[in-house]
Amino acid sequence: MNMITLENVDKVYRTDKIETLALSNVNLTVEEGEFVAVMGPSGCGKSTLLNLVGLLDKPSKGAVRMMDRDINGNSDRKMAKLRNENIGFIFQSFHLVNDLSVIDNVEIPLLYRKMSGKERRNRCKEALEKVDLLSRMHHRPSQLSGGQQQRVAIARAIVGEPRLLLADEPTGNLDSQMGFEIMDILNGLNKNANTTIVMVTHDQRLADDTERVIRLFDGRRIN
Amino acid sequence: MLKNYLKTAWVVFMRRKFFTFVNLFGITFTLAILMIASAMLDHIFGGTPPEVNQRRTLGIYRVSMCEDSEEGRDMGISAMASAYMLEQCMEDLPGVENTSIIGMFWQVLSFIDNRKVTSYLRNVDANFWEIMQFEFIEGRPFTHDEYDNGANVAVINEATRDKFFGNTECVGNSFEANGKSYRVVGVVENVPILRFTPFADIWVPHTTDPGYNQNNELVGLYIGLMLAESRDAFPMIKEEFISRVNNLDISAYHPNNKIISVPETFLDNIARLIFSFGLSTGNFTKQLYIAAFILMILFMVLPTLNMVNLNMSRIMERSSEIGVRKAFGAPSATLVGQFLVENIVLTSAGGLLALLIAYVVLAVISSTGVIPYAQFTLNIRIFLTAVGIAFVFGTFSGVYPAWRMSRMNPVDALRGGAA
Repeated sequence: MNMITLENVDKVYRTDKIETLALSNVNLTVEEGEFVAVMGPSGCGKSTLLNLVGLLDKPSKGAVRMMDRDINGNSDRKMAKLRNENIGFIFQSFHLVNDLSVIDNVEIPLLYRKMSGKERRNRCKEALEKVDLLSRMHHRPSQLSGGQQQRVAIARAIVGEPRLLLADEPTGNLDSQMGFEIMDILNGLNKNANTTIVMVTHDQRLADDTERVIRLFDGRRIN
Repeated sequence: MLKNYLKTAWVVFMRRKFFTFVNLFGITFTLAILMIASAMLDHIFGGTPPEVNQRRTLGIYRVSMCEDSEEGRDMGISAMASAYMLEQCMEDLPGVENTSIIGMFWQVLSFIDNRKVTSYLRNVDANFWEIMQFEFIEGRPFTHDEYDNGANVAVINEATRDKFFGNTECVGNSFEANGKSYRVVGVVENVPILRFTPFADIWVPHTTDPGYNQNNELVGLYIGLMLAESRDAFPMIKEEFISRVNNLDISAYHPNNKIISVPETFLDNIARLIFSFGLSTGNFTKQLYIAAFILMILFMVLPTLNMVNLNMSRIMERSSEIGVRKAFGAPSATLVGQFLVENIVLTSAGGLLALLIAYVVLAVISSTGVIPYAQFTLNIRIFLTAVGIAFVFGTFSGVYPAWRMSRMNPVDALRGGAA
C-alpha cells in the first residue's frame, strides 16, 4: 500500500508583494514500511514537502493521497483526526512544552483520542521505556540534555503508534554521537514496528542509513 | 484531559508571576467592585427580614398629578400619597389579604442626661406588624386595641434601647421623643436605613398624631402596603386600584389634571421613577435590569480588553505549544476549549479573591456605621452572581484570543515557537 502520494504538487507562498514558489510539480510516492530521506540545500522546499506529507499544510495545486485516499478538500477537523491517528512528528528543535513534565509531553497526542487516563499513562510509560527515559518521566524538558529531549520527542511521536513518522532534521541540533543514537532508534522503529519514516536531513551519512534518498533543488525533485 | 489543562494552566500562571499578578489584579478589582455593588443592591431590594413577605407585597410609594394638554403631558406634582387617598383606594381590594398605611420616617429629638439624641420615628398602623416580620428581642408589637385607643406606645430598635436604657430589658419603661412620652412595648433588631419601607428607630401608632388623616388632600407623606393572597392576584389588584384612583375627585386641583398611582414593588417604583418620572402606569423594571446589565458590561469593558490583550501575548508566547498540539491532532475547537478553561480558572481565582475582598470591605462599611445599621453580607445570591460575573468575564476575555489561536496555521505556529 502507498502510505503517501503527492501528484503534481505545487506550493506557493503569497504575501502582499511577492509570490514564492516553494515546490513545483513534485511527484512522490512513499510505500508503507519505507524509510526515506529527503535531502537538498537550505530553502529547497524540504520542510514544505514534509508539511504537505504531514497534512499540516495544503498544496496550492495537485493532489495529496494518504493510504491511497484523496485528502484534498478534507475539513480541518478531519485532517486533525488523520494526523492524530496516523502521523507522528519529530522536529529539529524538539518543540517540547517546557511547562509540562516529560510524561505530560509524551501524553499530548493521546489527549485527543478516546482513552482512559490510566491507559494513556501506561502507553506513555511504554513509549518512554522504548527511548530509555522512563526514569526521567517526572523531569522537565529543561532538565534534560539535547539528546534526551529529542528522545522524549520521539516517545511523543510514537506513543500513538502512528503508521507514518516524519522527522525534520531530528539530529540537526545534536552532536554526532547523539545523532547516531537517534538514528538507531528510528531504524529500530522502521524495522521492528514497520513504521514508515520520512526524514529530512542535511547529513549524507544519516541518509545513507535509509532505504531511499529523495533530492530536491529549488522546489523541484531532481531524482 | 481537564487535569492536563489545569496542570498546564497552573504552570503557565506560575511561570510569569508578575504577568499573572497584573491579570489577577484587574480581574479581582473589577469583580470586587461589582460584588460590593451587588451586595448593596441586594441589601436594598432583597427579600430579607423584616420584609419576608416582599414577593407578595405591593406598595403605593408615589402619587403623581400631571396636566394632559395638546402639547403632551406636563409634570405637576409627584409626591407620596395621603392617608385619605390610601384609605379610599385600598379598602377591601379583591385579592388583598392585609393592608397597612405607614408614614415617612422623620427625625425626633430626645434628651438623655442633658445630651441631645436624635432618632428616626415612624408612624404606622397595627397591620404593619403583620405584613412585616420583625425579629422581636423583647416584648411585642402594639395591638389593634392600643392603636384604636391612641395609646402612647412604641416599638423601638435595639440601638435606641441601648441609647435610652442601656443594654437592659426596657419593656414597660417610658422615654420622650419631641417632648412626647411613649411606653416601650417591644424591642426589635435594627433595620438598616437602606430598607426604605420598614426602617425607623421608633415606631408609634398613627393615632398618637392628632393631625393624622384630618383632611381630604390626595398627596401626603404616607406609603400604602398591600399583602396579596398570591402574586397571581397582582394584576387584579393593580387594575382595581388604578380604577379607584381614576374615580377620585380631583376637582380641587387643575381641571386637566390626571392622577397616577400604581401598586408596585419598591424596585418597580424606582424603575418607573427613573424611566417615566412617575408619569406612566407601565412597568419599567425590565428596562432597569437591562440598564444595570449594560452598565455592568461597560464597567467590565476596559479590564476585559486589557485581559484580551494580555491573553493575546500569552498565546503568542505559547505558539510552539499550539503548533505541537495541532500537529498531533488537536482540533481547533478543543484548543479553544483548553484556552477558555485556563482563562476561566484564572477568572475564577480572581472571583474568589474578589469575594474575599468584597467580604472584608462590606464588613468594614458595616462596622463603621456610615450607613446606619447596614449589615452588608455575602449570601448565596451574591455568591452565584459573582460566579456568573466571573464566568462571563472569563469567557468574554478568552473567546477572541482563543478564536485567533484556533485559526493559527500549525506550520506558522511551530515556526513562531522555534528557538
